[in-house]
Amino acid sequence: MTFKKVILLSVALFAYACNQSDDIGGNENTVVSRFEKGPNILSPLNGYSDRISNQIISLVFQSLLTVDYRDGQIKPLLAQDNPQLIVTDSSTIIQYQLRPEARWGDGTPVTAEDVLFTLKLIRLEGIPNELISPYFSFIREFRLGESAQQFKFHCEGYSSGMELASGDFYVLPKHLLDPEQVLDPYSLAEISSIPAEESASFSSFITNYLNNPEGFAGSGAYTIQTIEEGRRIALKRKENHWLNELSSSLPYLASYPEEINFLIIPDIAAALTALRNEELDVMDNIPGNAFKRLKSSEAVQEQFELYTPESHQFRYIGLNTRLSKLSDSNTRKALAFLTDVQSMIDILEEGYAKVATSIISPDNEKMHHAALKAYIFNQDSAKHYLQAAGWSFDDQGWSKIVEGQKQYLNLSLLYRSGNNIDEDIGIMLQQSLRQIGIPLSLKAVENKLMSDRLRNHDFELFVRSLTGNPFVFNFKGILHSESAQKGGANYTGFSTQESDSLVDAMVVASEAAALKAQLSRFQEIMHEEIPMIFLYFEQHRIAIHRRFDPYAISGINQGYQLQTFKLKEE
Amino acid sequence: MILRLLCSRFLIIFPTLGLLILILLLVLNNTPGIRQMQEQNVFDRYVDPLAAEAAFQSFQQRNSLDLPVFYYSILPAIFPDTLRYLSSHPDFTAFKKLAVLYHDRQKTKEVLDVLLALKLNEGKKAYIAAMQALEAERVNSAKAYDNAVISTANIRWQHFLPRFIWHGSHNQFHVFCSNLFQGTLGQSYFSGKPVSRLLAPALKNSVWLGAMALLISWLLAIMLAGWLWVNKSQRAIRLANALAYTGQAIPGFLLALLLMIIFADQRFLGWFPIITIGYDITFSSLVLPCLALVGIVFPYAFLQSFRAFQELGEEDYIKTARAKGLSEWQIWYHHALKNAFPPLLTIITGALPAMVSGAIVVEIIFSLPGTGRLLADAIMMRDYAIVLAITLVIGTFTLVVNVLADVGYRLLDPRVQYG
Repeated sequence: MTFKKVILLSVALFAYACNQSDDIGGNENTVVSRFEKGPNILSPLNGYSDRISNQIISLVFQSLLTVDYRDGQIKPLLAQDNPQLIVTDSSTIIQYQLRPEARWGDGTPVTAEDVLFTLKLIRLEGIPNELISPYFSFIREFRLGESAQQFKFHCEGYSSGMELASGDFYVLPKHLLDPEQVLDPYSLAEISSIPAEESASFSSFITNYLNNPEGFAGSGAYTIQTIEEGRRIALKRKENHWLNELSSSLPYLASYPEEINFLIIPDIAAALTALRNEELDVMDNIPGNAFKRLKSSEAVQEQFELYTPESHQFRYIGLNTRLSKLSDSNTRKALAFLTDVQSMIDILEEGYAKVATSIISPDNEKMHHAALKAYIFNQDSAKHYLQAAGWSFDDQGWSKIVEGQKQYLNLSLLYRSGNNIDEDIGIMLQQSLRQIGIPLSLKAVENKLMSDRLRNHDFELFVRSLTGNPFVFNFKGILHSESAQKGGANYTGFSTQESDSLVDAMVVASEAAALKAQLSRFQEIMHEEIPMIFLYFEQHRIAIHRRFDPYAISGINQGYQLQTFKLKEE
Repeated sequence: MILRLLCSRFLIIFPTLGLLILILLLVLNNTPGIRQMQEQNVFDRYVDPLAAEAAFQSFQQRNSLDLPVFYYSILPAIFPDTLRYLSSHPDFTAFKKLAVLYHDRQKTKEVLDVLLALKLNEGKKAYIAAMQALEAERVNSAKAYDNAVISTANIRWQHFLPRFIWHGSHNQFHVFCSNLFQGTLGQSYFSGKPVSRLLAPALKNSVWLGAMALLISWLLAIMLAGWLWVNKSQRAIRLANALAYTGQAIPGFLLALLLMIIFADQRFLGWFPIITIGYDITFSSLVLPCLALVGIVFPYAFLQSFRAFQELGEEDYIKTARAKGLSEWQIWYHHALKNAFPPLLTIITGALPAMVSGAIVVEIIFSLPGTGRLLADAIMMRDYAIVLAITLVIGTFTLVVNVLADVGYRLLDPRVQYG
């Protein structure tokens, strides 16, 4: 074969391949969305760390409670109403009543036995449930009610997040997963002490079920139809779903698209090209600069509606207050004055963010302390606070005498490797600090290694993002002295007697007015002590095809719920 | 002779793979980050630290990570044998410090036995709480006594002599190798899914893509180099070399992005979809990634092939062939190619393992789920069962390819002798 023949054959094959495109969109009532990576564990027992898996699983299985994205309220899903809480000195009883209409895919009613069975699975050893099990250790006992739909949780103590937490797990069908009633002889308290060998065959059956999502039979409106590992996950709406009858009175539970296709497109440029090609109907997490370009494109504007709801995610710079050079709040205040947050928002987020003055989003008007003012970039103020902290400037830089030794103010900042925005924040801070003579070195660290270093207090400054929750104000894990020891998540080491008692009080606060007062004081302390320099709350950047009318776009989770996308009437 | 060579080479493969597994287990067991499995960036839920630690220990047990790595450990004599029953690496480290502080193996063993009994009878939480209390006590005692203990003559150097501790078959290496002999590569740490189910489709995509790209690149490269060798046009040689060097300088991701924009973006040609569906990777879905990989491999392949032909020069056998009246193409095919191929075989076989390890940049840009992406995701998530399996597959493939290359040499040139 000559060289020319090879070239001709290649061109012919190339031309043939061009005609081999597949149709992903299917019919008009199919939503095609994008994930940047596949779900880590596509399982109803996967915990809360994998938002991708949760987005899929929430279409197949249902929890007792959900959130209405339109008004941001916690509302019942499998439950008939929000639960009733009876709080005593040492315990809390949470009472639920399930909807009588709730059905599994085969028409069997969802009962309290299913809820109990799910809680047992969450605790059972030997199955992949470790990511979720620690979150439900607060439920001590389960008691069945008078009817098959009634039950009570007996919990130790009380915290304000209990109501949401008690209804925030996917209920699994007992009649399909435990037809031989293997777990029935054990109470909820006994379940974690079953030796792994005794439950080995049952555990293996459950693990096998969890690893075959195409066979999931939940009470949700969709079933998983196809999984192409690393490429696509397709869901199909059930013909006769129990919520169809109720969707007119409960619009937040409606499900319209016949099919939902999740495409896994890791590269952002490829995803944007797919969006422009209309191969995607929905895309979130669009980088600021790309979103700005989409906004300025008439072709895109014709096909897509672009949304920017406020999210509850904020970026911040954490300071290790245990270190002698950062232990004085005046030094930390000086660093806050040297952080040019507005420039960061303009340059790095293209303006799609709001300056943060506290840990509460300014959008949460009820709880945000509006009187707190942001630290505006000001070198003179920074120098003033540095001098107030005892630092003096000479040829070598800023220094002071600590325990008889001259200590220079030079800092290092950790950021997540591969995260361009975190890196750019570091570079901008580095430039600002350099202008007044404080050297800052930047260190890129892989995300989990960074967590390791933060938990072992092996850092000076770090930049990260954190997501709050509009319903729960529990800072015990991240800003209480109990979590400040090695291994805890209070990385900055911040705590005062007052802040600790406020955090404790907020955990058990049941009245909104008292909670607001405590939260306001807590925000004031944080603003004064500055263990974290709050940078900004990000805005979601979402594109949705104009042929769909979403029920609500909000700052909660990813900002939208695909099942509520209704085709617009022509 | 060839059979003997094959047998001797394959006999070396097994201990080499065993060593590879052991080294991987040792490295992965000591890589930080796995304790952050529950790390999340949402702070709304307060988790009881004891419950979180109990869950981590269950995770370790489910994945046999609580077992020692190999059949034996070498520890200072002061540490009791029962140390290996401790649930986690930090506990192990903490107890080693405690043993040094107590300076009494019997006492350390007694404390340890109480703790282990507590775990058995009262459950994980009670054990973890006791362990934490013990660690706090040790830290306080260490502060007070550390210097005194170290400086006194009480310290007995015999206690720090190395001592072998035999663990029997209850170790990670044994468990992994047993699974391997039963035909399984283990299970994903987090989902419990058999690794082979995750690896097989990814491997299939990577091998198809890699094989096609390598085959096309090297065929084209050898043919182009041959054409230049036959025609000897200095202008064409200069042009081809300049283009090859330029091609080599273009980063792979840039080339892949350019191809995607030109051929998949509707604003330009838009001939291909960004992502195609179907259980099997279709021909059309492989064209652009394959073109990108060819673009990355071809310049290097061409330069190496051209150099191999250039080095032949004007050997006597070529002059003889020409004197016999053979055409230049006949001389190239029958003489030059045969003599230039052995050095090229080394380079080609060196590139073959890339077929299995995947081309991560191309896989990401063209949304192709291959081993490169699977490996990167597994490392990010700390799912070392997947990392171990992929590394083992790549290692095995590399060893096998090297054995076949040795055989290939021998077949191409019978003068080659192996010790």
